[in-house]
Amino acid sequence: MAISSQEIIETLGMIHAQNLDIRTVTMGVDLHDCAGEDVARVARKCYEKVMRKAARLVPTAEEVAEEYGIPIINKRVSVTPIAWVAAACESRDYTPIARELDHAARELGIDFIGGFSALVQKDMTPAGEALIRSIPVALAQTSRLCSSVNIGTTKAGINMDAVALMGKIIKEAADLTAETGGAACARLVVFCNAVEDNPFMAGAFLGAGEGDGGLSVGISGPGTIRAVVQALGRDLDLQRVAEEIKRVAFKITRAGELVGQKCASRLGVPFNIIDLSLAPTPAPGDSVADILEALGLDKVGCPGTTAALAMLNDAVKRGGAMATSRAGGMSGAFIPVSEDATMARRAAEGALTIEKLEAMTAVCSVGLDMVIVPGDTTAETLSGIIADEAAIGMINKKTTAVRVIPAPGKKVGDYVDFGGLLGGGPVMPVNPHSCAVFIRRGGRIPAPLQGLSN
Amino acid sequence: MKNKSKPVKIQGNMRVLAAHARAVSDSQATKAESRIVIAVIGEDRPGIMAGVTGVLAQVNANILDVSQTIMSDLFTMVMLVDIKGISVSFSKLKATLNAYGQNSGLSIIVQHEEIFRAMHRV
Repeated sequence: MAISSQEIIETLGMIHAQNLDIRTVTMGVDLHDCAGEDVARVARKCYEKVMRKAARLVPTAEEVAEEYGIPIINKRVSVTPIAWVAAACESRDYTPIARELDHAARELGIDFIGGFSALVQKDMTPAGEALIRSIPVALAQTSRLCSSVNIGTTKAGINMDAVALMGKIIKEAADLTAETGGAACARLVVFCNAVEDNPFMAGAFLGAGEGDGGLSVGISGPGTIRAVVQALGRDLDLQRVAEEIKRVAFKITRAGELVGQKCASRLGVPFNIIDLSLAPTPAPGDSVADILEALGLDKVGCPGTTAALAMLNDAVKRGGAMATSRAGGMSGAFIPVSEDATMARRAAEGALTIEKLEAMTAVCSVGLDMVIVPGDTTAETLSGIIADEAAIGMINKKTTAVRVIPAPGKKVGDYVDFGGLLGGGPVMPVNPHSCAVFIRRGGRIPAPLQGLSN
Repeated sequence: MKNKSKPVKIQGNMRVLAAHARAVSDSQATKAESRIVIAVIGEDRPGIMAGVTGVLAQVNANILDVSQTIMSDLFTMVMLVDIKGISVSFSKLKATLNAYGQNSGLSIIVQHEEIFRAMHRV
């Protein structure tokens, strides 16, 4: 059946008026074969392999974007968790590897490289701990490197020693980049149930079972969905609203599928997964909060927010799952505060609180994301925030994460701007009561009964 | 015996039909790779279509379908164009059309047809 001009005009409207774009094409590069005893040599090998494998990523993505007329916002690379690659190194300072990965990212012209990561959900190997302790300096000395640490899973429980350590690491990373508002923390995420094929940053890494890599796509499109919801008016019942969201999610996903297929085949690598996520940007109208408000909330954060988000998240997945057989990664709506202009505004107005955000993370992807807190927030309190998020993920068998920025010297009401896709937002108040004794206990929160699924 | 022969016939017909459908869809997919959509939007005045089609004729692009209308004083035209035999590259054609659009006060959007097919067909 021929494409009608009405359908063509609808698509053009989505792209040119509603910010429909592909958020990211992310290429996986396996670095297991770069292992060795000399950290400088390992770093060099990592650099060379990334340069070789991803040499054509940026020109290819630009070519596909041009031909199909759909913008690809970010080009990224995800690598094997460096704690594995560096395990045989005699030195416990892994920052040379961080610098070389960042060097490769700059040379290639990609936006981010992810995988300065460790998986320590049950216990830390010496290499896992060394990687974590290398994070603050690694992030402070780089600009495109992203880091992630998995501190819990439904099967393993929560490693509370690692949770306690990560509170301190986040503080250190913030202090080392105090002049930019603690911007290093915007490239550091703490996970529970991390996924191994995530194309989104800061949490992307290439898991051990992912083969030699491949190309993954993260879709976007909050503006498109908001326009559809807005056009439905205020009286349509929610089941029909969900149906309309599902339809547009199908179209968005198909665009991502096509772009992914074209990029992968031109690069000569397998097409890995498509992440069915609604990812906002600070651009006007490209906001998940705007969709929730178009559904009928006065201000995001008010009662009803969690329910509206749950419905939106599920409708997007339904449409997306029909459009592709490669759904993977996070696949859910993102609710980063600083990266979503309306979300940031509601936080500044006091309509949206950290506690409400925490509740919202129980029904969507992925967690307390890009939340700026006062600079004097203690490491124990940060660990408490991480533990709470991890508990939600562990019990609900879903991925949760914390990407929180304790902006040095900033107080509630101050505003911090990170620029670019990271956006900016207000410093949000944190509950002042202490969980220090609980955090200092350490040990492990045992795996819940939900993990006994066999 | 009579009862048995009937389903066999339907099955046979269905197989032919399915093969035909697959052939049609395959040929459309192949064609889609060499087909582009050109959308032109701008203030209405004489000669817009002539100008754009002139650019296409110069590079030997073959117009397959045109739909044109005036929406709230704006000229809008959507063209389906086969670029299999064009004398320049796709990106060169796109740049030429964009430059022509800029000089004539028109927005010209050029994309492969596949993106529309992917988004609007199950």
